[in-house]
Amino acid sequence: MSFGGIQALDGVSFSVSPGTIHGIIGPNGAGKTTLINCISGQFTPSGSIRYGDHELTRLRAHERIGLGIARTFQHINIYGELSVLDNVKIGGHHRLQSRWLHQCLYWGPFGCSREETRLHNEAMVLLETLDMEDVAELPAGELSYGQQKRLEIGRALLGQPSLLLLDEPMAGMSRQEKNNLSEWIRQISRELSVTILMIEHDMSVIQALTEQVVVLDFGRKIAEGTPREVVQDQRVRIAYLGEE
Amino acid sequence: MDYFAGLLINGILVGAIYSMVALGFVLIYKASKVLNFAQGELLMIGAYFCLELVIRLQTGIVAAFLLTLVLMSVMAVLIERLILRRMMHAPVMSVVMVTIGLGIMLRSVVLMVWGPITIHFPSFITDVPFDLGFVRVSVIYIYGFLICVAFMLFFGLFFRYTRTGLVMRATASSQVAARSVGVPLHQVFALAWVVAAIVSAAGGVITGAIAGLTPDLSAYGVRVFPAVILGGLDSIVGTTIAGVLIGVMEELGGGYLRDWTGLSGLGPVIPFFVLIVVLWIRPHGLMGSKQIERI
Repeated sequence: MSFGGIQALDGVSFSVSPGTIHGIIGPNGAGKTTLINCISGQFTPSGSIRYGDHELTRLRAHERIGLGIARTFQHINIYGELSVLDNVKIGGHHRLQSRWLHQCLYWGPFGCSREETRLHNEAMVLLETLDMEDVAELPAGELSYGQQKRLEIGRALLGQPSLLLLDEPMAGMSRQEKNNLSEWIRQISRELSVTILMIEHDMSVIQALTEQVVVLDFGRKIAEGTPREVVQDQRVRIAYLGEE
Repeated sequence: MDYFAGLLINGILVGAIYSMVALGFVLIYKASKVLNFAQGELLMIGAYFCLELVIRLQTGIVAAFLLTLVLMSVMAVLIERLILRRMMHAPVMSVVMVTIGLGIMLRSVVLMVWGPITIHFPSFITDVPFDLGFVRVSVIYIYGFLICVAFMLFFGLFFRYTRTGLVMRATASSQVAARSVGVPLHQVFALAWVVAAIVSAAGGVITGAIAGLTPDLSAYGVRVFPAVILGGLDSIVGTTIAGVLIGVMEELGGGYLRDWTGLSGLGPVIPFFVLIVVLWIRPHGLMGSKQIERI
């Protein structure tokens, strides 16, 4: 994967086992977000990305959620003008059976309401676990930073993903918030059996949460292993932790 | 008083048409960030379609009008499918250039088929003006106004309450995030074009029914621009209010300036003064979103 003359990702190869929490670390500009963008379909790399039996590079971005691949973004990317509830509900959009013409005809309580009601109820349950049921009708843009971050994960979850890509879900959070969010992510992974691939800078979060870690530097994979193995790797210490 | 009321009513009607056409403009901009410079030509061609249907099919204006909307929807889908989808990843400026080209082509078609002359609809509505009490208004103005209000109300509710409306609002808010939850962007763009074509055609038929049809109807595309900017480019409510404001300013200003200066045709200039002033002092318009540069 390259942009102009810059090789953003070069021969990166690794695999993620189902049901695990996998970390991606590396210095700024290492290609971590580019990697996630390739998996979620924002970019099409040369090479191959396989998910189960499916070759992802042949699928367009909006089709990948159909395989169960959902994501969040490094910079908060919620629908600020829409209500919190609508933000979550649209996460389940791809699960709707009705065709789009039918969806035009859904007016409040009429039309294809059973599906919509189910989605609505699921969204409300999710908002309760997020402790956001009180703000469900507020424009999402008015939420606090931490709430917006969690809302984004909530939106992805309503798509019932089997693989969840999290791009720095804890950036800018306090220690306490990070602990809570880590606990929630662990819970998601265990109870919903969602595979999680997350980019994170905080090594204590990585050590507490992930089972496997891939380290990128200048678009190349420089190490892979358990968090413990990785922090002891000489190349990682030089590239990432700044040791000579 | 009568003079003022007459100008005011005129202004409100013209403004309602601006609002409705601007809705299409704003919608395409919100969905795909493309400024559609063929909006006026869509309005023009819609009016000619309706004229042709009225004359050839002899079905009466209502059926012809509805059929026009269907035809325009098909044309919008074709425009998206054949021209714009290939340019999904092209720079926005290129797409804007394509809409300008599209407009020129549509205008040429009209010139070839119908010529540069003014054509009038066969009269289908009573000439007897309707008495509002303080002023008498021709019936077609009242119908025109009601149609505009009905269309805007309909689409307003559609965006607010349907699943498709939600998808469109989400796409307007963030294309990348919408795609990540499985929204096929090209369908949303196509629908935005369909709505734009429908409201433009409606505006074209109303204007054409009042003043007759000429290829100059396409100038509406530029004339709604001040309303779009005053409204804030990406705000549907703002544009609706701005459309009526601009219409009223144009008519009142044009009317009184003509009396004072003896020069006619000053009315259409006023909105562009407003445009310039708005861009100076409040570039995000009445209700548009402020662009904040992250540095």
